[in-house]
Amino acid sequence: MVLTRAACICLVGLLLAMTWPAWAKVSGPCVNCHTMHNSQAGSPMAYTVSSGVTTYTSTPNKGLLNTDCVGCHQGSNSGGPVPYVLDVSQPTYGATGTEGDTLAGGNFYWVSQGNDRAGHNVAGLAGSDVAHGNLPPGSTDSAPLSQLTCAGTYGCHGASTEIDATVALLGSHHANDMTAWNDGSTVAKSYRFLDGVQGLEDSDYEYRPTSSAHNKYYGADRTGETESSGTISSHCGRCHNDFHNGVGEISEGVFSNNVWLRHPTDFDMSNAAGSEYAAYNDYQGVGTPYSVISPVATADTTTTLNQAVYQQADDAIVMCLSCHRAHGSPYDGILRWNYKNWPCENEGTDCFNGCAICHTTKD
Amino acid sequence: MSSAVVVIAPPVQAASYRDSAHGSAVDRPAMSGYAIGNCAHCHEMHASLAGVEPEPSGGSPHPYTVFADNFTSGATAGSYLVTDNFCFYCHGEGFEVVQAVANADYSTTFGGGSLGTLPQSILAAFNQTSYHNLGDIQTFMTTGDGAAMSSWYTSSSNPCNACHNPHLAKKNFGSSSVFSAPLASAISKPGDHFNLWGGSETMAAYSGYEPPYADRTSEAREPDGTVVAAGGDGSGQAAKTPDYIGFCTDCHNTTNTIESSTLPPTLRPIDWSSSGDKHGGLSRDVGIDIREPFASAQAGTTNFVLSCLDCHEPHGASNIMLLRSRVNGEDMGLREVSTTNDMGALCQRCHKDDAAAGYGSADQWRYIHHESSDAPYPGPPNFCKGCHNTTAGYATPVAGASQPRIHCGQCHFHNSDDSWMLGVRSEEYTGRTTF
Repeated sequence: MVLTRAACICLVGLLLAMTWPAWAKVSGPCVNCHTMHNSQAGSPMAYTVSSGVTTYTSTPNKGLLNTDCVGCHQGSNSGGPVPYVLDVSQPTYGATGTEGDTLAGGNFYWVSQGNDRAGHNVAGLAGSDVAHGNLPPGSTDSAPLSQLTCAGTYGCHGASTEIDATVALLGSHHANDMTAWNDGSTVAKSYRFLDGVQGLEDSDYEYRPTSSAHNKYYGADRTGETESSGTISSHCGRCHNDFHNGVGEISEGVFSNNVWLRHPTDFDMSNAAGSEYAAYNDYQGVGTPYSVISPVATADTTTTLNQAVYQQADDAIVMCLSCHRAHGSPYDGILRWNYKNWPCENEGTDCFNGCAICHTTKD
Repeated sequence: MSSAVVVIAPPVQAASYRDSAHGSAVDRPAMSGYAIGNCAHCHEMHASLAGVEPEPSGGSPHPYTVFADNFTSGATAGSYLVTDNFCFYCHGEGFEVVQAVANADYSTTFGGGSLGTLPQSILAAFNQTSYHNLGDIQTFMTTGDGAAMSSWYTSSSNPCNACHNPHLAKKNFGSSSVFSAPLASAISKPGDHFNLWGGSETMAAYSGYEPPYADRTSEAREPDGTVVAAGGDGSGQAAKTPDYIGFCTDCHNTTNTIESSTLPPTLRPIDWSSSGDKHGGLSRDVGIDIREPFASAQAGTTNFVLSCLDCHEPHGASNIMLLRSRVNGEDMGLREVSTTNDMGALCQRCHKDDAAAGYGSADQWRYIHHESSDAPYPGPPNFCKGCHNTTAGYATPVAGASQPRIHCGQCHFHNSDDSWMLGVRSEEYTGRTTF
């Protein structure tokens, strides 16, 4: 069969226009994201978005993209298919970031407003951290040559072998499958394009998550500090290494068999049998529901969602994201809740004891 | 790595951290901006804050994520430094202290002593003549008999935590309201670390417990100074006093061997049961020559059961054996007790010396031993020098006394009887329990 050029274009356009919400890979007409010549009727199509203001530029973007990460992911969330990580006005976060309009990573709004302790200082969203410069806390390396970026060598997403953020993510948006377990084998098959990280992605990025609708984070019950490749926490340890995998920095003596020096990550709370952690999420006994306020990771790599913990081996693994948001929150230390003000008179409004989700006798 | 489904029993939440003394008071200056009681005042989750280690900084992370090492195992007992123990950073004195907390000793807080004349901090209390040896506690809890009852304790734990759970311990002094039931307890048994002890477990459980005076003149009683005249009902005061017997005998019992580097090789076992000491559950032989408030109460009971803290300080004391500086409403008037030869200053707080018996001089004990109707060696015996023997080292001359004073420690100590007599004047041996 011979198709005319026009028919081919129509067919491709039709295919692209089809939506696969369950897969959540990018969909729609190419022009939504790409511009072939950065020109339409003589005007440039490439643009940046800053503080909600769109500015067109004659300088084309790599990947024939209309805009960059910030340009696409800036806006307010309402549960739609595009995750917005930077809001131009203050998002509704609430006490724990689970009932407003922020997503699993939180929001860069607060760090973009100058609160360096409330977010990762990503280039294009905020200036370098005044206190740290470009050196992450917990790093044993020398300061990186660049400010933190969204992706690439100096970023969190995409291939770390690529300096450029766009190049680091090339093709990944077209190959994502949110219904499958991400095994970390490629950027596209990595949880949220975090190269090498495993996990199952919630279809709406944890917009108002519940115990039955949330990300499934991958963790490992370590026996040594340098283990746990592929976990979400080990990814944080790429920069904050002493907080995750610095030898002799997390545990006295043998990891998991001794006393903590720093708060553990990639450690299964089931190991502390009979302790306060057995009452995780304030539920007494078997069937402990997963908490979206202080979530835990699991070593289970199936697509069955972990709606409860202590159901199988290694399904109550403490991770960095048990306490922190990856992008930003209203609170110091990018914590998921207002820890600094706790205890307070009006808990839930002025402070929140998320620690007690696990440390159940410390409320 | 776990290999099977883990079924774990949920813990019983006994108390709230926010109700504890620390949950409502800790406030490390370096953590400005953090709410009072916040975990960060003691714990540093990443051994740093905003990239730097808050004061006091040691340059490295510490076990249990606290801001300094829990305990220096080589610390010199009796000369502890603030830096030897994490708790001393607040419960201590000196420039290293980050949030000074005043803690008077038991004699002052509950025994009616004058505020300001005795140790004002826990550290100061430990740095006296006698003390709970923190290193020995560490040894007992990790490799001694204590290890079997306290799996929660590790070699990196704080010896103070053997008796206190910092997340549960409550302030138990400061206003009369803290004595209202349930008691505000500061202690947890080593074998039951995750629960407070003494909130509902009180000395009221012992029918023979007579709350001692906090002030003899006014007849104020321990622990809170409520006036109960001699012969009055002391049960209310007993109900305000934690069951220190149950608490202390969690370690100091007849089962555990407690090695001591200060009193080698081991501490005496304590038997407070009805077959043990008379100061405990054992009934008296006949009668006792005793002072108020016990004198008026003795008709109603065959035995008085004392609380350990009626005589002992918990942390340290200027007297030997952690003996309190104030007992039964009076300071240790005669002298500090520096040897077991010379315990009369303590005994006379409750027992009648010759002066109190209307028989002779203070700090002499002929009446009780030889003249009272219940005297064990009535008469007195003809051969005084058999026991009142300075040459053999049994006694020390006392000005004005007819005989040298026999060292109290020959017969009177925990778990003792007068078997010393068997080697001195066996015909005088009574077999009486003498403590």
